[in-house]
Amino acid sequence: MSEAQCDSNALELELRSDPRLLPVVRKKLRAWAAGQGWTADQVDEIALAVDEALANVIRHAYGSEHCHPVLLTARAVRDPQRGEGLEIRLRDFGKQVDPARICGRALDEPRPGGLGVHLMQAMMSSIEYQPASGGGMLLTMRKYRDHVARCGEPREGRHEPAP
Amino acid sequence: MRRDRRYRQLWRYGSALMPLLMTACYSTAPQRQQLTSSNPLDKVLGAVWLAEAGDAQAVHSLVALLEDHDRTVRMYAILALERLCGQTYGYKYYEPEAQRAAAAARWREALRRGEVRLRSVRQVESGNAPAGRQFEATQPGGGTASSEGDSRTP
Amino acid sequence: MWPDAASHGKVGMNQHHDGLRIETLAGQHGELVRVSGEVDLRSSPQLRNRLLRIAESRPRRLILDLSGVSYMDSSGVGTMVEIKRLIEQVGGQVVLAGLQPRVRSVFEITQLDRFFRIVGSVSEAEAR
Repeated sequence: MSEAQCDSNALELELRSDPRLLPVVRKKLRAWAAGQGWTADQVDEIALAVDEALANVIRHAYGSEHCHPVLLTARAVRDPQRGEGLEIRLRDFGKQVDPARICGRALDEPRPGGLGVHLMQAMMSSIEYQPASGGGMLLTMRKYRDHVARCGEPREGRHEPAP
Repeated sequence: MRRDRRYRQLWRYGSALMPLLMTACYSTAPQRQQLTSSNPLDKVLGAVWLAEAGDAQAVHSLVALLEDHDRTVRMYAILALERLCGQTYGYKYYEPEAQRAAAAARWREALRRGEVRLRSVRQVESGNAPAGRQFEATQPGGGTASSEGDSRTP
Repeated sequence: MWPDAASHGKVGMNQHHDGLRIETLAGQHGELVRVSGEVDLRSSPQLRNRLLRIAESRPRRLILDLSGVSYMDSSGVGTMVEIKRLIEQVGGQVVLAGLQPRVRSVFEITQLDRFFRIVGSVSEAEAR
């Protein structure tokens, strides 16, 4: 993994699709986000969202192979309506292959991987996937200072009693 | 010449069998059955797995879960539908029953009209669509398009 | 590593894998597994395999002491759910003990906390 810091508000990491790097990335991201003035809870949320996104890249873009490139950038942003925030981009170069073509896939081992996307959606203000020119995907996640981690409910009703 | 013809025959039979074989080793029938379990956790996990698998056949069962009495089941059902179809038709799992029922009715109407499409089109290595399955890409924001390559459903 | 048959009462089995530590102890009230470290895509397979082996023995109760788990992502939560289902299918019970706030919030946001018995400590789990 290599790192470049373009300016004091940005972080750039060149990674490999190796799960052993996940704790290292979380640590770097936490340090960067804390330095940007995010609260402890928000720092945790950011680290978790990125972790889930990276795990998805490792599993889905690269089929759990550990030798492929992933680029991560994090920078401060400002939206005219939402105010200050951050934007994290994850670029992979994986092939977009229809999983239906892959025989004997993970349903034999019941791992509910879709939970990760739900967590990402809860932790970040927005997430967007786009095909990237040259192949692979670009994931863009944004979080604004006023964002509260939730599961799609209105802020005032975060945890309503179960029916 | 005879060998070439034989190889072509084998390829033709093999290609015809491939969808069957892929279905056999990629069956999501047990997970679809979970959606009818009396255990809410089974339904939750079934919804998560089926969304992960991109199972088009699960859409109707997932729409039925939008009216489940269990809030968590409803949440995962709409999350799965959003992943599969890129749509919610305004359904919010935490809203009062009347509003949920109205949104679920919109889903059923959309299904009846054939308006619901699976969200992702993957660019397969050979450049051909998978045999036996019809997909249409949805663009961010909900329209349909025939372009190749769409957001990867993680 | 296999349990030491000469020890009295509790036996210990330790596994350490790049920051995740898993100890199993057999108590009066079933199996106690103490997990420490960070549970993510890298370490959750190790945890899963260990818990699957325990589930094969059909414990009456499995207490997971997660007080030492400082981080857990969806792969960890998914493992917890999988083990719970397996053990409950054969009449057993799973209890999660000592969740740190950061880990607890992951269960809450995924709304999977309501499917688990979650207690503040191992002693609380063993008391019932």
